Amino acid sequence: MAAQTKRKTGVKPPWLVGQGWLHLDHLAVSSLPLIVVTLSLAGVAFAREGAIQAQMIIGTVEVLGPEYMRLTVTEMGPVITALMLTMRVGSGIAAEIANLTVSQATTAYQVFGGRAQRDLVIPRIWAGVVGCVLLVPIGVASFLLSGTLAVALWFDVPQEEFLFFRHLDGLDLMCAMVKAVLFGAVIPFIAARAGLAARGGSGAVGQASAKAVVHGTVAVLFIDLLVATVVAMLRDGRLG
Amino acid sequence: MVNLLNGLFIPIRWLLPAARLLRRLVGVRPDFRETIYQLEHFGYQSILIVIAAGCAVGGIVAVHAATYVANYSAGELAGWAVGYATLREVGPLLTGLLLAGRVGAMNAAELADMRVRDQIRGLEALGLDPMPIVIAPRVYAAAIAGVALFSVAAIASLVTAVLGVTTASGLKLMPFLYSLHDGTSLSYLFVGQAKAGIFALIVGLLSTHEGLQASGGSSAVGRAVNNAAVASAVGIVTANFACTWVF
Amino acid sequence: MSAPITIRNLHKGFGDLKVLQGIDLELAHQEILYVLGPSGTGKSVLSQCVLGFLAPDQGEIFLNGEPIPEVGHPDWLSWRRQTALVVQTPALLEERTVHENVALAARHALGMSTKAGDRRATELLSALNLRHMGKQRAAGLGPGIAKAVALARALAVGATTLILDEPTTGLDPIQGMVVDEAITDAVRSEGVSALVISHDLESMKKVADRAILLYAGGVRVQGTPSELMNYDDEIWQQFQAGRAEGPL
Repeated sequence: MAAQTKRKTGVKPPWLVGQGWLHLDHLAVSSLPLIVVTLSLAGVAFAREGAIQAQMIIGTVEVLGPEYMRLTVTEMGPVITALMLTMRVGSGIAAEIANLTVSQATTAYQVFGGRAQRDLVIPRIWAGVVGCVLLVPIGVASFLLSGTLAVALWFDVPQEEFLFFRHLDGLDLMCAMVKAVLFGAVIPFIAARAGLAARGGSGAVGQASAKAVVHGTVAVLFIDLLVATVVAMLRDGRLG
Repeated sequence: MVNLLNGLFIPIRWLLPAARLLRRLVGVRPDFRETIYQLEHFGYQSILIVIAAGCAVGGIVAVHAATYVANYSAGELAGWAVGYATLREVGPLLTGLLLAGRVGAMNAAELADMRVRDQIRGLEALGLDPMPIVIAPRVYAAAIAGVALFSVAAIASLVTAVLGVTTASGLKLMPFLYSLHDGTSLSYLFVGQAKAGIFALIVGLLSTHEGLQASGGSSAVGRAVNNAAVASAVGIVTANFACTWVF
Repeated sequence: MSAPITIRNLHKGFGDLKVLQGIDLELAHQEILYVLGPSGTGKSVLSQCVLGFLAPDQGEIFLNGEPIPEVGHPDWLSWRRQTALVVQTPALLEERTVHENVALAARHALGMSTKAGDRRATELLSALNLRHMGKQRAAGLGPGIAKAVALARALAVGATTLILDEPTTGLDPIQGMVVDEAITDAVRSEGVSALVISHDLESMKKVADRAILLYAGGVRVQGTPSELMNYDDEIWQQFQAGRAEGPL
């Protein structure tokens, strides 16, 4: 079937990942500055606020370290990275594909034997998964390092007392990676589907982009909830 | 490396246009009927999706709060954790990012479409100023809708979080509600609302600016939405950072 | 009372290309004047000069007896509203209703209250036989109706002179008729004057009080439609007949 598609259209089937690499540059490499900057700012805000509250409620900031680390790795890092990617990449993919749809380029492609639904969506999902898996650790690192610096500067907590790596376990890291994979798959999928559903003119392109961002954001939040619940149940021993 | 260095200027690059547009809006009286229409469009039509997102946020807070109760036997702190996270910290940030998509992207899409199809030029050709007719109503409606929608999201988050924590951790509802009441200060609500208002204003300003910059065809509309979504998200994260020093 | 538009000895060129060479023209009160000519004869350049978007190389243009203010002049906006341009693409606010498009213009141009703006919109839509379309969204309108609504909007801002750029181009005969009737109704009921840039002879015959033909930078022929029908001029005959062979 792959050979047949290539003979008909001259285009290699996308599950060979070749095309995915093209999208990886746009998705991951170009998003790197955005992720580093926004996660760093968010990390400082979160750490500072947490430290103030810890001082007020408990009387000390040192207890914040382990939980800050766990929340960053399992929650804030992956989720904020994914939300930034939804804004940047999700809307971009939807706009790009919507443009092809409203200009009937996808129809023409299908007339010549191509399968727009598969060939436009799958490479982007590949790129999304790989990109997110690469970017989430970078986002987590930015969030952690900036928060640690903030707490060290304003609350005199040395970094070795704040960065409690030994409090992280395999389940936390698995949680982060599963989220990265799921986010990376769902963001381009939703965006591509929104783009393919566009009907009309320039207005439809805008609506598709907006829909991709909204649906992508809600999907990220619900996937986050689902994975967090499963991990909590695993930790509890209620699952497996 | 150059990209990373350029990235450091991202917040400034996005927030300066917002400040310029805000200055232009000073003294402009928005068309009342248009503002009501946009309020319904941005606010009322977003309620369901905000409730859904609020429930998701509440559920996430509940999962983590229940973990603290289990790990540290800190039942008395669960109420504080839920209140703090949903009202003051995580709730406003995640709701703001949702609004960046729901309101910001939509606003930019509509304005960009109006721009490329000369609807705004049509007003100018008749000597009508688009500022009070098209621009100001959208910015004000986005800001007002943002504050109102945060309240909706906060209620949804709180209810979900309370139900989630009491179900998952075995804490009884009434004692938990007392701990929520004792641990949560009214300032959390005010800070959350203030943050939501600031975030919503930033979303309104940046999405309006990006929408009005569109020129060309349908690809320009897509670019405007993309820029608006990214700009709004960066603006919110930056404002959240600044708010830690103010509130 | 000064004429709405007075043009004296208008010259306009772009580099070596002389487009308008000594145009003299006057649009009278409540008159519908058609400016005809094949493509490239300077019809649009003439309208751009009248609207103040292009500065003449030579000559004078007066609107209601006053020279055209420059862009940025304090009176520019109010002058802009008096001489309204209705372009080929109606550029209505598509997400609003027909009624709201017109009412909004009245509210903002003339400082009317919401109720007064609504009343004025109803009045104008009735005058142009569009009242039944009031609740329809502008996005779903046929092209002729959309142009008629654009006309109503132009009247709502207080325009006393309308400049219509190819209003019936690209429309089928029925949609074209809608526009023709809207122009006539606007002039008769609101007392405005209209300068119509066009090459639609059928529309001219139905609607115009007077018409001119531009050729080689000047006014080749002018007269009422009935006068022009039998006008013995080679250029005019070729244009009227739509023949490819000839000086045009």
